[in-house]
Amino acid sequence: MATYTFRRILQMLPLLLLISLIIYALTALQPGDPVDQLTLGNSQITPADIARLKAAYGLDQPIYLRYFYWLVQALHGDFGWSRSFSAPAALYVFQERLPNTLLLTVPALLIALLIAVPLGIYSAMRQYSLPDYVLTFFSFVAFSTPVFWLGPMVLWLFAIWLPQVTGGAVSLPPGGLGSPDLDPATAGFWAVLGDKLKYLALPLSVLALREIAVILRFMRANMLEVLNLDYVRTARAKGLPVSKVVYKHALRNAVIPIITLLSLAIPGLFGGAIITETVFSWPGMGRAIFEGLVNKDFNVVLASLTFISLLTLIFSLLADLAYAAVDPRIRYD
Amino acid sequence: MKASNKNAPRIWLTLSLLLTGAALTGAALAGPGNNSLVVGTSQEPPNIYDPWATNNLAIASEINGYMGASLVSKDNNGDLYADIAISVPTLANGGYKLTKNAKGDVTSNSVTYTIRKDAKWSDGTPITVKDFQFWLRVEQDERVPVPSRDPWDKAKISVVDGDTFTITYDPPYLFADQVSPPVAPSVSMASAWNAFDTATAKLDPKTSAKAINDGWVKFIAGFTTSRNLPKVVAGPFRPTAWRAGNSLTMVRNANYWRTPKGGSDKYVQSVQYRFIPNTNTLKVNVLSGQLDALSAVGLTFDQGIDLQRSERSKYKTYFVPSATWEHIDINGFSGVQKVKDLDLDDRRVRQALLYSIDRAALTKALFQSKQQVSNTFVNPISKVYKKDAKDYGFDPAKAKALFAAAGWTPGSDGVLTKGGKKFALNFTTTAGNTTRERVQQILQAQWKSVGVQVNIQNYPSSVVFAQDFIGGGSNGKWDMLMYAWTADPSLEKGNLFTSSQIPTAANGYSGQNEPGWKNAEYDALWTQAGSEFDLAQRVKLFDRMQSLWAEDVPSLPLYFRVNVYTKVPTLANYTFSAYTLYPSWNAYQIGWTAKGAAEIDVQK
Amino acid sequence: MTALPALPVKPVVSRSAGAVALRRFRRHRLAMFFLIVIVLLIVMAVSAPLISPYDPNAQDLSGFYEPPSAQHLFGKDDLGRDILSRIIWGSRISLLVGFSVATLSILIGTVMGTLAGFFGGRSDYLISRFIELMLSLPTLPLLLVISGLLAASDSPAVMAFKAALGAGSSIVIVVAVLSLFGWMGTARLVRSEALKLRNLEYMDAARALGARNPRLMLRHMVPNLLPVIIVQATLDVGGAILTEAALSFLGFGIQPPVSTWGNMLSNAQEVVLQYPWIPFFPGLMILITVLAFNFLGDGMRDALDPRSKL
Repeated sequence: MATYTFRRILQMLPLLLLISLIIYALTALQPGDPVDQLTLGNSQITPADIARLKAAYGLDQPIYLRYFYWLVQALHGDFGWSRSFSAPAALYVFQERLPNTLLLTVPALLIALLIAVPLGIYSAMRQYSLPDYVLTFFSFVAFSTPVFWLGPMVLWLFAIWLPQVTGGAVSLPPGGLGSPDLDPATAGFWAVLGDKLKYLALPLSVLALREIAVILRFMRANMLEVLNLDYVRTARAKGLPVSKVVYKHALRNAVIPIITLLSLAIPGLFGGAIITETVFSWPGMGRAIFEGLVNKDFNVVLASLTFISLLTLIFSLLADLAYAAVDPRIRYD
Repeated sequence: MKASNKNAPRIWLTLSLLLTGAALTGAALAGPGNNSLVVGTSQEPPNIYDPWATNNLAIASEINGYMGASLVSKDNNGDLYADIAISVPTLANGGYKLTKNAKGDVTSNSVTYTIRKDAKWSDGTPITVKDFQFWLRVEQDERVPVPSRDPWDKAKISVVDGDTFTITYDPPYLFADQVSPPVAPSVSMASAWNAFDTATAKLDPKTSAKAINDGWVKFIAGFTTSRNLPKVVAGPFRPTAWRAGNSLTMVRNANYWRTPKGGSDKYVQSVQYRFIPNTNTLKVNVLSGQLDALSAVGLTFDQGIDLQRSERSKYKTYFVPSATWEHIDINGFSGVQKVKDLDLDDRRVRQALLYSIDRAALTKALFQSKQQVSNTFVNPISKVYKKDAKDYGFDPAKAKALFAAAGWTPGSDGVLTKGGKKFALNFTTTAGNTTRERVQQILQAQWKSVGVQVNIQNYPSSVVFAQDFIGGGSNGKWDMLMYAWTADPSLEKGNLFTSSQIPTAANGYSGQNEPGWKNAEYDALWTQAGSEFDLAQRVKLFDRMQSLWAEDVPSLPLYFRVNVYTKVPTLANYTFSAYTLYPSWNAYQIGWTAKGAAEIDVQK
Repeated sequence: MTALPALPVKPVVSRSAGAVALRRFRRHRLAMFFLIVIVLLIVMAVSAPLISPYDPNAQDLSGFYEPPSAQHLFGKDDLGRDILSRIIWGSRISLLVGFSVATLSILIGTVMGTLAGFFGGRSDYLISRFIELMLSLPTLPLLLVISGLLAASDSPAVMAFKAALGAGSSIVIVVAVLSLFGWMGTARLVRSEALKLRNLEYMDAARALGARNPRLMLRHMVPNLLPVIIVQATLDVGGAILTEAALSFLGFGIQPPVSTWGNMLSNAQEVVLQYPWIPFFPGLMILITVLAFNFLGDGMRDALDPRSKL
């Protein structure tokens, strides 16, 4: 196991290098460069100005040299300067955007797991019962609802309509990271937490709703399959109580899909949810990358994509190790 | 198992109760209550108060208006007023001087400014000539990545006495009396600047451009970012807090010299910008009364119309003519096969394209005629605008005749054909811009009815505005391209259409004559106008330039855009025009009538 | 959906697997109901020119955002076009995108996953690393990046492709790009299932009896993978329709004036609070369609599971 882990880590390095190359190439080959942004619509700009600015931003070098410089700097932890956020790109992404994203995606996933895993198992065990139909129907509806349709709808509901009918008693903020009136430096912990929850409520619910739907479906399908496995059926036929069968045999097999699910969810965890972030004005990683592309702030794009890729690789390795841990039939040799 | 499946719904229920429960508290603090102003905007600036504007965005210019002061500025009518200076220098009062040679040509010009005695930085130190000299020295420094140095590269400051200095432009600058040199806090920035200066002095600007730029970034970031707010400012407000991604707060600067009628305490004491990138969310914020006003950089026209419908006297919506000219460039590069095939380099075809669209009906339907159809590239409020430029009213018969004259006649399917080729071309604009895409589809339908087959081929704005795309007409990157230019109407030079501005491989596809229009007479007039200091003469030159242009229509002129914003009706002096561009131009007078603010300036 | 033709119908034997599956499927009432819904959707898409009440691109400059009425059941959109007609025509593109993407990505995913899981060793290693590579690249930003590259490309191949397909080129690009980024989920699931199956006793038994790899794979592995694949396929059809909408939302989708439910929904984003019916109907269509495919898949899963009681 230890050698396997070590080998996998070693194998990760060339993969990471390859990823960085792909990311860099795709970003740098984009039409246009940061200088467009500075000169756009300015009729005084001369070709000499453009040449001067390109040199200042290091864009006069051939792409392979730029990649090499970038890589060397990145290995030293320096991802360059973010022009659109006026901060070192890596610092900005790590300190501002990643925490925001994790604040949204991790609770959403945890809530979804807490709710959906038991419900999925329950649904499978009571296949074709009324609760099963209701849950199935719910998850299908939730899954089929586009976030950028649901988002504005709940915004309207909680930020406009409900405040109107309740005279302002029930009201949620229409997007944003937190109350601008509240300074986290001076306000108490509970005030900050309460404020955060208020702003998190809608994006978190929208995000979690979708994940609940996915996990519930997935869990139910896998559980049904496990329950139909011969040895589980044998165990049941032997007259073992259902709960015992589930605990001893079925559940264990059902853990594997959960691990798969988690490893699939991880890139999204760090990468953020662009659409949810857009609808609810939540400045996370997803929007950082999107805005970076739009504003041609490539350092932010590169820093974000590199972090996401690195973290994803690490966690998918952990997932593979977890497979081996829970299922002795999987042998890594 | 049993336990957990019972628990799950309960967790959900508890959670939703918790979340809604948390929502029961807290209402926004906006409005006259505490004499503050809360402004919403869809953009967040990367930095503020960079005196050299090395990284500029519209929203930064707007916010800088609250914190900045200049020697002289323009009001909503385009008239100059003095701010740091004691008076506006003019030819009449001798503050503005033209130096002429024997032939009567202007060889240089100069403007003399006297600084007010009470002009101070926000830390109480006086604003002196040194601050202007410092600004100009840095602006002219090769190491500083200023996008364009025009006209400051040819300017020189000489001190007259303690408070008075003269700025001389040699060669002369056409609009020397219309603009004034900006100012930077030399004392506050001195040590950081000297550090940058010594660190990069020995570096070769050719080989170490990037290292120098990194040094500059470090310097300027020490004074302009959310982590390092500007240390001193000159204008009526100073920044106190900037929470990145959230809000920026400014409070009244006690050291600012101009006092609004009745005393500063009757006017807004603090201004908070809230950055809300999603325009729907921004709209909800307006509807729910969490914002007192919107920035000029906020909503699209359609959203403005929608907001206007739900006003209910809580707020009012304004549509302000802007300096932004929306138009469609037609690829005129004869070297491109498709341009040759479709005769896009033939003026008759371009005229026919313009005659076949009903711009009046379009602006009526989409913009309630609030955006005026334009006939030339010059802003109608500009002094050099030609009022009687050729007007291409909707005239399908004329369009068909012109097409026929160029050899294009309708085929059996109604599409124009010539020599077996169909008149089919791509029409590109920035994807995701709903207003543009609506305009585009209306035009597509109008062209279809005269037999022009238009395929929409849109790309994200980052692609469209990439130098080698927008400037790639000569490579056939686009056939028709719809976008906008913004220009200060009082500084119109006609640069857009001189042949020297045609993008080519040699100039890295820079230059803004994207359609590639070349007209010798226009070029000659443009050169002449560039050194014509007599406004009446310049008007004549521009008259002819616009006639030439309108006859050839290298671009199809659509309209000048309007900017949309909302404000609470009792908020006074929050106004702007195509000259001032942002409501912050008059920041010191913004106030609530309920708090005693006098309404001096009403939005037109 | 993609699994439908794979039904092993053997008419000779009375209680064939196919007949049993069909019988079981019919018992799943919701699935039956939504199968009918899907058939109706397909009929609607095919007969769009016949049943569409108006020209989907006919504008009415004096009738923007008209609410639903007797003449225009679903109201009018931001250019005064009949929303019902646009939905009917839009079903063609939305279904086309959904089916094509699901088919392509399931195909790629199953092949990759089976190869990895069945053979293990070096092929598993290579495929797994490739999946990891693809998964660690965030999809939506990269879709934008690729769109930018395609737009600016001077290469004769891309130019010729765009010229040949005209307005259709954006659809092909969307399908290709979505499939390219859509198969990894299937591949991972199939791989982990295959890994599990590979070590099960009956596989060992089959192997001991002399079964060769292709037979093992097709006869013993693939049928057992079907439930997973079907669940994934159904999610994929809906997912593709949703992602197409998301792409439009971010400014890279199918070009106007062609209507898809996705771009109808996206175009209505800015007016969702004022004219809720404009996004409501396309949103509802997406919902119904995705729902239908999910229930259909559900029914088929129950019907096709080789291990459930006969």
